[in-house]
Amino acid sequence: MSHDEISFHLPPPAALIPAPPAVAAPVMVPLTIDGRAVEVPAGATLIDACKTLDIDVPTLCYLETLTPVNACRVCVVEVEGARVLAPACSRAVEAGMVVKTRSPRVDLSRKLVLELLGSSVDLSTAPGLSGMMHEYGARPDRFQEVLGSPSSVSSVAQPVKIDNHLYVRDYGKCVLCYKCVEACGTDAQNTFAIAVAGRGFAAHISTELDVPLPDSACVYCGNCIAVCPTGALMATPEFELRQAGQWRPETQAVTDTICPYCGVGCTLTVHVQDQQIVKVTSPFDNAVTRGNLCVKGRFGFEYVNRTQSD
Amino acid sequence: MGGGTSSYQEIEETDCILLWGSNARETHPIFFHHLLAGLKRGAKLYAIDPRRTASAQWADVWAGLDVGTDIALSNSMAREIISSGLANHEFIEHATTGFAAYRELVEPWTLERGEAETGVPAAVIREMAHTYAGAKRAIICWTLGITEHHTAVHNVMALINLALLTGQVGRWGSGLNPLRGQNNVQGGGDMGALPDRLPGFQHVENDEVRAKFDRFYGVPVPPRKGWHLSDMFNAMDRGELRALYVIGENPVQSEADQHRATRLLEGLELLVVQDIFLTETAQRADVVFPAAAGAFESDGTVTNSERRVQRVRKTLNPPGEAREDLAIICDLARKLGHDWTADAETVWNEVRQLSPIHAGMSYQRLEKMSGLQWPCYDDQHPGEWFLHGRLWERPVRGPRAPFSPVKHELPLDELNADFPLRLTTGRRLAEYNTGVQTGSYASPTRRGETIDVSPEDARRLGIAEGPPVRVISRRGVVVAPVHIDHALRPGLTFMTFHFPDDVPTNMLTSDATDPLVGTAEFKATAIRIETGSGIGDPGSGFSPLPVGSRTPDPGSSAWTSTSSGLSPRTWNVRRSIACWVQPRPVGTGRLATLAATAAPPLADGRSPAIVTCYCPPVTRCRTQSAGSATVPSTTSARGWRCRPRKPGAWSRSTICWRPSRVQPPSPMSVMTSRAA
Amino acid sequence: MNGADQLCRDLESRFGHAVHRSPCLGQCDRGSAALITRAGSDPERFVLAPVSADEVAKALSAGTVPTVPRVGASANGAGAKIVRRMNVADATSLASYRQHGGYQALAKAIEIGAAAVIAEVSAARLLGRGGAAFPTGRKWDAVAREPARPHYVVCNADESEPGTFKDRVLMEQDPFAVIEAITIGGLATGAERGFIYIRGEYPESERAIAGAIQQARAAGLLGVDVSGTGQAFDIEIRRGGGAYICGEETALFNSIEGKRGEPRSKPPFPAQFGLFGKPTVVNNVETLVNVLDILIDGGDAWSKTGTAGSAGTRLFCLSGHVVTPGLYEIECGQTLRHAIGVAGGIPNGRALQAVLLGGAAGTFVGPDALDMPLSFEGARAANATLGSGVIMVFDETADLMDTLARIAQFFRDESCGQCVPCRVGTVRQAELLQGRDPGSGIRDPGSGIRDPGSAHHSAR
Repeated sequence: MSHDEISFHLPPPAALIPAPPAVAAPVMVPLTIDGRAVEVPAGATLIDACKTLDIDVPTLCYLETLTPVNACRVCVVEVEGARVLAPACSRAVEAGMVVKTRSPRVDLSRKLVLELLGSSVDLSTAPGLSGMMHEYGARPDRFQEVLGSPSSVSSVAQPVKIDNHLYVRDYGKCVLCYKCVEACGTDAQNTFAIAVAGRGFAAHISTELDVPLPDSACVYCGNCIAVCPTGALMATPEFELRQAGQWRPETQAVTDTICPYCGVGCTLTVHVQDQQIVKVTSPFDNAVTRGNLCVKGRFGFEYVNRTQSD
Repeated sequence: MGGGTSSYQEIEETDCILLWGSNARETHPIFFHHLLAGLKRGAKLYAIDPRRTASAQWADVWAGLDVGTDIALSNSMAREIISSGLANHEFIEHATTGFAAYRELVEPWTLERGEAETGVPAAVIREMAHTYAGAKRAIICWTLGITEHHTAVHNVMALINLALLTGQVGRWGSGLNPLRGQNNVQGGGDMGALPDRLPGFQHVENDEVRAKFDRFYGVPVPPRKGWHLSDMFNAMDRGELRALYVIGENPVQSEADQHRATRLLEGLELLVVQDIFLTETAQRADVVFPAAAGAFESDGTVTNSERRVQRVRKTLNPPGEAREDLAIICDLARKLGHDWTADAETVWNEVRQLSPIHAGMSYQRLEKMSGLQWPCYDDQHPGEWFLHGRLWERPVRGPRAPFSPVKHELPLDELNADFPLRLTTGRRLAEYNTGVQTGSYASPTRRGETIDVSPEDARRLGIAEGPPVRVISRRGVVVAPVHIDHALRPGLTFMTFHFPDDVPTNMLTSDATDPLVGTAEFKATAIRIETGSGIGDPGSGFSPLPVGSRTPDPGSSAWTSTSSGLSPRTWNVRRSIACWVQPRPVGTGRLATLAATAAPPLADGRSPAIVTCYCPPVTRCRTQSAGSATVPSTTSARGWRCRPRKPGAWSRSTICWRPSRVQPPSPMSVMTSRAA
Repeated sequence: MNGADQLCRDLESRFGHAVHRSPCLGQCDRGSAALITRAGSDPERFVLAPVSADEVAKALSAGTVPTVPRVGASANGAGAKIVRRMNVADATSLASYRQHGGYQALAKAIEIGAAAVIAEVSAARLLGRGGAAFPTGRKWDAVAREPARPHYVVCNADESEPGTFKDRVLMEQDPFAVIEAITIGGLATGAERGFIYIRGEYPESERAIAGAIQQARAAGLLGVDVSGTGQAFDIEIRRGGGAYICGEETALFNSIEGKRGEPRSKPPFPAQFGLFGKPTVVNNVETLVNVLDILIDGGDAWSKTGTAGSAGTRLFCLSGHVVTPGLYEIECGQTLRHAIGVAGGIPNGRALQAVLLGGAAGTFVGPDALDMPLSFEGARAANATLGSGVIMVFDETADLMDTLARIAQFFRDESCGQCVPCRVGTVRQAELLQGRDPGSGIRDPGSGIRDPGSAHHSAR
């Protein structure tokens, strides 16, 4: 390269540090939640407002990085004057709203949702669910008690779908939260390999025409696994370790590093058990990834493991 | 300063995106998420690519130009912008130099000439020009489609010219962004792994800068720039470079014109390879230092395509005798008589003291802020979202930005009757470079190497999906199965270089390089395709191509092939987990002797060698790390007459020398990946 | 109640797997019905009701679509407004429609202008007839004021509530009225495109509407220049795929857009973010047809009929144990007893056990509610709903538990599957209802039925 002025001397620091253009301060909306006054920016949801007050609202199908579909209805709260309970994850705040996050009606509704899910879906690998069940006094067994036999209580139990080497789909654990569909679709990956098919209780997550994954549009980014709240979608190493009874998250070292592949610089959260990488995720609050990775970042670590065991 | 001028966030908020020579959907998938967010917000996307790639399928307009006509397209757009009165004259007068010459150069590039030269319809060129120039915010992104040409630098300049012409740089949402192909290409450049730069892009021939480094380390830094990669290979050819220390590279398989690269590497007196794998290159090395896997087994930092320096953290212990690169380098220095001990943070703090743009990035801040974007001048500095905002200050702070009038040149590997098809190469989503990392995981989408041809060419050549064909360039022959790809236009073919053990694509590619930076013209090879019965069958007479052999004359019976090209790739590269020295005559240089004698031989006859180096966590790159070694004038074991090192043949290093302790490493210097 | 089970068994024994049981074909006025598809390169679909297995076989082998006996508007006496043209005018002829007062309302609308049309509709206090009873004038006004373009008008003809058939009869017997009303809605709210989303089980309705649109276009009543006003408006037909949920307006939008028919979160409401994300008027067929008389009579005059809270007349779908099931136009505020009486009362002198008001998603009331006025406010006072105008009568012999179990099964099958309380709750309700011993009450010690019910109410 020539010794032009620009390359020969470093340019001086800018007088004004480059930054995004200033945006007008958002209009603040006042409302009352559980008797406490709060102001949040217009457009915020009730759950956002609850967070500013450190009020915990349970969620299943909600994730900051995804468009709320309010499918699970665990997050419902009571809005004064409204006929129905409002899903806190998607309901935008309005000035003067008076919201109760706990009330007999709210608690009954949450309890019911947990019982309905608990009685129809295998929630054994859903983190946090048992605590929620306990808090709301949910007894999923009560339907069986009335109906007599387990077989008379419909469930989504079904064989695990294993059709590729990277991840398994155990739809017996699916609560149909739509997160995987959103992550595969417009909210992140835009691959559209999966969608909800069927109606009523037969509604399920499906590839196009229910073909196996290798015949579908799937690109194996695993962003669906990352958002799955129940372990219905699981990377193969975790699935196999769980099958063998050797999945021990308490012994795992979890470290953030940067993906070894392309130059985008995605943060990988690496889960290591017994000197083996067993899972890779990415933080949802990371500005580069927003929790998303590609197939190489999420699954392409085997070259390190191979030598660990070789 | 060399780096993408914009942040990922900006592409979500821009109005017009020119994605030029980049299939980011497959090669930078998470960046493409940001780009898609921009499209959702209403940005226009123009994909400029010979192939209708997965990225181009998202574009408002796909401009399918002929390979190697990027400058013609850019100049034609520039002329349209100027003649339509869309040039930002206020910005041009305020912040740039050399506009008159540029205007003169592009004047003949009418839309019609642009169309004739590039194959892109005049109306499309016009629309791109008008949208780009008229957009409130516009970003150009490019990848190796721009840089893997013999006109690499000129191609980049042609894009910069467009931004200067329209003022689409130095503002939020307007900029110029090379998408880096490896996780630390940018960091390599940051750290001075460029022939003419010290860390922080400080010019090595700038006396003031050098004096700072001299003072800091107490030794003089060599005053002239070193060799870039292609220079090194040419120096090997001339016999001037005789010892090479390769860190985290597999040039035997990743270099263009593999025959030549292999011959030159095998002709070295001493080849030291530090890698996590026993790659094809490592298998030819005299000494192998097993290294820790950068992203998982060592500490340090890498810099991404938005100039964000981020921490790499150790998550696993390296296997066997493998060690962190830094530890190896420190040990090597110790063997050479210098008492080095360092951890990653100490070395990083040296960088911060010497490189102003990294000064504010303490490990503590990097941790707390999930990385920082340079420049970051002090502990309070938040890092900068975009570069070159100074061009908009009044008066311009620092030098004005020069237009660089560049002329269109066709690829050097010309098409003719014997080689009528254009081969271009690139990556697939689930694979990475020569496959040593990605080959080990079971990607369901892996389908092995193919020669992708357009449906039209397939019809013309009478070839179908599946059966193997011979692909012949002026340099080599490979056999690969056919894949018919509707994304290709007639005359254009495509291969990856992910499966070199099955199909060594780089036997075909041209080693024509950019004279300015030495980037090889991977993107433009002239080939022909031949069919015949039995191609690819074992025992069909197609024996593996001897390394170094050339394309036989057409009609000769000596057709060779390196493999069936049909088997799906299996994981066949072993992790390098023990130090070893090749049981073959090694060079007689000081380093070789040192390596061979550093430790008692192992039971199996291999010698564990303990040597060291620091470099940013490395990954395999297309380019290699290399260094020259000073060797006494003597006759090597291979009969090469070694000459003393020429003045100026010294390659600068990424090593951050500890103050006042040591001589700079005169016997050896190290270079990591280039900045693409 | 009218032998559907027997018909299904007959058909299944004769045609095997080609027979699918449908929960509802919208033919409650005429008993066991069959929707028949004659396969082929140009498949034909038609509904026969009432029908026997023999008639189905005959229809399938015949070369043409059989003519369906025109049953319906059983009471179009002196007070009839909405149904006055039924069985009087030729439903297939634009000329006949015009002879019977057709297209006068559009002329009036063009004469007084969009703002005045909305003012008249508002003055009439017209409430939506699809079930939600939202003031139509307010809806139109909101869309007309939205700056975003384009605007859309959607006619919701996906009449899927079991027990309802009023929109089908309207579309089949007075299709031009539907078209004219949609056109007025479009001109009033600034839309250039309208959609009519017709239930998939209504092939006859589709044919009637398609024919009417074609004639209206030919007469310049639809197209780039509606009646010389210089305004463009045209209507496209969309046929439903058999999903109950697509009658919900936002699910209907999704379906038109080619997406899975699933309700969207509200807010935002259709007036702001409707079809293709644009401001959209969506009205039920009956609601729209009312607009014609409102314009002709004037809003104030029109609102004089009915009650203070419920202006105008309503179409009621009487079925079950009444002497003459059918469609009846009854002035709002008349009693339930009156409505049953109009349909001939309960046959064979049996006593009334219960009435299902408003369809499967409605409410059961007992004999004590017979004096309930059939108005929105009257129903609300009785903690019931008029919904889409269903009055399904059960005499003392009916097995209400069986009916309840059928309704539960219907919702189990027709839930869109989106939200947990409905997707799983309806299954548990159906199981608890079906698991009971015949003749016994419901085993519901743990409120397994009522709890999901309350969760549904809380979630809707």
